[in-house]
Amino acid sequence: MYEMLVREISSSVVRVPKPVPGTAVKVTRYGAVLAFVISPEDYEAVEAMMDAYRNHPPIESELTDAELRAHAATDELETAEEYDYDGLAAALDA
Amino acid sequence: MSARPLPGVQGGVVWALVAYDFRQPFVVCDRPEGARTYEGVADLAGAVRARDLPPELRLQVGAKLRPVLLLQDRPAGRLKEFAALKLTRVEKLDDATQSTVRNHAVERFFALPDNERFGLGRPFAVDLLSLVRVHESAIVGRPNGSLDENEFRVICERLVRVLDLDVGQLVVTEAAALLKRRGLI
Repeated sequence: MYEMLVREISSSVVRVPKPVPGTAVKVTRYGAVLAFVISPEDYEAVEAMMDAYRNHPPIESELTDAELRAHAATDELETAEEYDYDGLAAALDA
Repeated sequence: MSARPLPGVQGGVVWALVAYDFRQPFVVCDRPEGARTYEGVADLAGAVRARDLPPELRLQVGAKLRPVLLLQDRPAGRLKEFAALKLTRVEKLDDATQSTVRNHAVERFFALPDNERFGLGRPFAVDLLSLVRVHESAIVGRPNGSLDENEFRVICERLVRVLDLDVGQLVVTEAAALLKRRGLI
């Protein structure tokens, strides 16, 4: 699961614009994105979301390659030789 | 002590006509001038917004007669749809994946213990990632075999995780109620 460390820098060392809650400030240089600045409130919200994912990670993040391959096979086309006609016949007779 | 069979059709393996998931491109069949293909859902939604298409429409979808595991019983017949899980053909998998599935080494698949017990001609595994709803009219006959209550409980417990359901508080509430009934709290 993704972890983000925080490195603290004093505002006397670096100048940053004061972000408004709900709006991220994108800092660019010659078109390249250098940083995003968000408000402390928004950072708390991001942390809370990451915590929620850490505590209850979506099942998708735990699936193995074997499970993904098997799941893909569930809806793969079957040839007439592969299809379970005997099983279907048994169902019709049930 | 051997596990008891489940009553009704819950936990039963039946054959049913199951449609594949809708996915783009979408082919709308009931336009007066003939079928029309929409490359994405935004195109289709735009056509509905423009009143070019009605909001209820007929799509061309693939379907397959296939075995599924019924997750529910409908003894009174008041609800006509069943939640079900598709089965996947074990022999379709590569050797390594087959072995993993057959040995129950993956949580999201449950290899049926014996295909003949379910009237199946080939080995299958329940794909817990493939929840579908099937209408009773799309089901072929009665189950030829069913999971016992232990096997079905395993499926249910795994399904809670697979569906990302948060049942933590429900478990706490039920446990507290049980302790209270027993006079332990």
